[in-house]
Amino acid sequence: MRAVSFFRKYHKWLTLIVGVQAVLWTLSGVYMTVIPLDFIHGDHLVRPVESQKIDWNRVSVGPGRVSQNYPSAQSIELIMLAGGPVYRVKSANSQTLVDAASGGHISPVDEDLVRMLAVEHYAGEGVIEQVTLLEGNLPQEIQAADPPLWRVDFSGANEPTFYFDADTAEFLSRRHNFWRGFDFVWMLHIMDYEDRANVNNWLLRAAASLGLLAAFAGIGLLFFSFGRRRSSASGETG
Amino acid sequence: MAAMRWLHKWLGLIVGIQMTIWLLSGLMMSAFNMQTVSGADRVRGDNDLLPASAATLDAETAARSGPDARIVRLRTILGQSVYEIVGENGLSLVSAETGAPFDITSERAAEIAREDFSGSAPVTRVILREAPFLELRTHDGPVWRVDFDDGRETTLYVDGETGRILSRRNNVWRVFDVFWMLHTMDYAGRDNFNNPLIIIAGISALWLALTGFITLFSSFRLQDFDLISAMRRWRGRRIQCTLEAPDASPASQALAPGLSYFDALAARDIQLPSNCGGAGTCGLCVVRVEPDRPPTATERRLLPDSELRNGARLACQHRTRNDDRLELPEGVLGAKPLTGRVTETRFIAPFIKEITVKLNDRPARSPVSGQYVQVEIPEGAMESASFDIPEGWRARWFEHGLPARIEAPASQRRSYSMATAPHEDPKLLVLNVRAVPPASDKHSWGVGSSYIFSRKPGDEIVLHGPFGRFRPTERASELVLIGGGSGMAPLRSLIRHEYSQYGAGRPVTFFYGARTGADILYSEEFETLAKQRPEFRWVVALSDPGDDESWSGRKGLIHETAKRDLKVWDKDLLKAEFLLCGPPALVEASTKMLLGLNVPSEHIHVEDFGV
Repeated sequence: MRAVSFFRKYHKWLTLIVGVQAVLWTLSGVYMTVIPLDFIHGDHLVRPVESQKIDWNRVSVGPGRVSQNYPSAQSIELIMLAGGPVYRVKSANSQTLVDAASGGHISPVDEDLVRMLAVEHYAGEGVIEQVTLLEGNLPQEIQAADPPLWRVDFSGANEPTFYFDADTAEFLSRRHNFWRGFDFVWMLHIMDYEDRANVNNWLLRAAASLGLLAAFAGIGLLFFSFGRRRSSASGETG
Repeated sequence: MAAMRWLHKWLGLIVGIQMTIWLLSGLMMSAFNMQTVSGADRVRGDNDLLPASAATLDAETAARSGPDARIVRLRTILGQSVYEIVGENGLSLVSAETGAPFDITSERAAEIAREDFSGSAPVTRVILREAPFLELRTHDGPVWRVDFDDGRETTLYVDGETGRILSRRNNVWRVFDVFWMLHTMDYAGRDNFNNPLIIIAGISALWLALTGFITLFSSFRLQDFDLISAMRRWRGRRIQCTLEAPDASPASQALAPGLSYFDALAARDIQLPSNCGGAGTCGLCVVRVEPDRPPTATERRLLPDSELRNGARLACQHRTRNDDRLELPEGVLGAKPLTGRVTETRFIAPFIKEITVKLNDRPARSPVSGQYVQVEIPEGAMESASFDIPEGWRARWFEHGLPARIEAPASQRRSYSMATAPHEDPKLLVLNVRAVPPASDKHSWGVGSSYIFSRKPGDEIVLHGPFGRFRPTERASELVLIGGGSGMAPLRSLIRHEYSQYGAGRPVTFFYGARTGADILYSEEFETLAKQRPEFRWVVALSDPGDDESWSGRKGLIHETAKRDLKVWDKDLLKAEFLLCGPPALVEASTKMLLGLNVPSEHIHVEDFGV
């Protein structure tokens, strides 16, 4: 079979298989490249908040005592939270907040504190619409975190959301609709429809392999596609 | 749809390479195990608990070195409790036991890296660097680069300020990162995939994909999904088609069912001209088909109406069909022209010249009796003076107003049957060429005959062929030949073959019609043959004997003469086969006459290329 027929046949059949995915790849790729990544990350929604100086006068429980109370701790962090000093105690599979003045256990933090923190960090338009404590299954968009979390939804077409760790009051992440769109097209791009994270999946590998073969055949076709078109009829015979 | 294809093609030219690079780099990134790329597979993964005697020093004392501390973090480095203090002046580490500064020295950095690394490979080098740089693009500040000799050149980056592991790099990552660069088209920083280059390429590629996708709908026809035909093809089933071409004799060809003619012929190594490979865009794979095939929209777009009416179609647009007949363009079946030299020319009748050509080489396809060749008539003028018309016949020529020059406006071909049997000499061609006087004042003399009449011994001549299937079948027990004028040639060839050592020697009756006695070709030859072989009969009738007193034979039109004889035929007409060659009127009348005698049409063979 001549090369042009060969390329044509393979280009046609391979793109029949991966044509839809090729459209999805380029469509998702354009989304991801056209919208600046910092915007996707939601940098415009967050105001930088400087930590307060530690008020040593109110620290009456030393870190030594805390570490004795929490023998599995891997790190103990003294910070100011809502005007008072607190310890964030982190171990391999749990974390908690301890009042540095009383030594008392604070976790989980209450909604009022989260509302205050949210307002403090939020730089976008709109107001808090809803604050929800998430204890069980987490939504797809914050899968990697450990519950419990506080979810703070703001008003606005872009539907911004902040997530705080309910045990430590840490500001974990922010989401908005462009991020969600990005996450969706990323799923389409890497073809991992469950976790949206595993680029080593066999579906992607198979589709990319077929797509690559189709592209090679397409390149091959290019060599023939710019030749002369049909000429006028040749001289009659007989 | 044509616009979509056009766009797809040009976009392919513009971003086809980048599309391929994206697919290749994407595939490679997907193929590389991310655990290996990130170095996570060689992380020890122990989590150090704070020592029980953790902070002998209290936090305030520790923080005193930085009274404006905002974060004080008690953690473990290399088994020791350390305060990490974030204050006005940045970050500092102090020992939680002694309060002394805890600097990340090169020894400590190496130790931290060794503790993190799961293998036993030795550290080969520890150097201090200032981030950011290519392998550590998102960090800012001093870092220790700790290299391991682990077969993939793992490098751990230890933060010069906090002693934390910032990044794990290895050669797999380094290759991966090149693919990442190719994928993001950020050839400097590698991470910025919002750059204008990728945006332009990406949008072009999106159009490439979209136009390609839309084009798919017209690229497939229902037949592509005809699984029954696919199964038949797979099982080796073939259909029979007859292929014809001006430069080849008609031949039956076994073709795959359910494919387009273009693909089916390509599978038999018969390549039609094409730029698109059968996509229906270039319009080059022109063939002639049976007229019952309606042209497709593609054909109506690519071929002129006049050609469509002539049966021209695109081979890529029609499926193979059993018993179909397809005429291919010249040159496809791979025949080369024949060349030879004229060795002899002579007038054998007032308007008929016998010309003998010696071929330079034997034809690739051996000629068979009854076949014809096509003579290449080059463009140019012929002098009628060079025809060498015998004195006695000149008057008849000038009755028709023979001009001094006859012009061939373009090169063309004319078909002439061979008048001898090929076994006599396969390289020798004898043709009977009849001059064609103009049919009216508006016509000119035939250029083919003028060219051949002006040939002299030694002249070169170019031919194509042999072509044709003018011969009886083996089933015939008797042959009846009806001919006239230069239609003599193939009939003479068949007779010479029939009575040679290669022929069957069947009874032959040859009805030959001529105008006058002078127009009878090879009469001596056939009279002699009739005497030698009783099974050969030579019946001549003159249509215009005039006052020729010497003519004692039959008079009238030859088909009428034949009819009289055949009506009282003493043998079974159904076992005979009839071969007709001559002027169109003769062939037509004879065919009608034979059908009237209930001769089956498949027993009538006609050579009618317009003698």
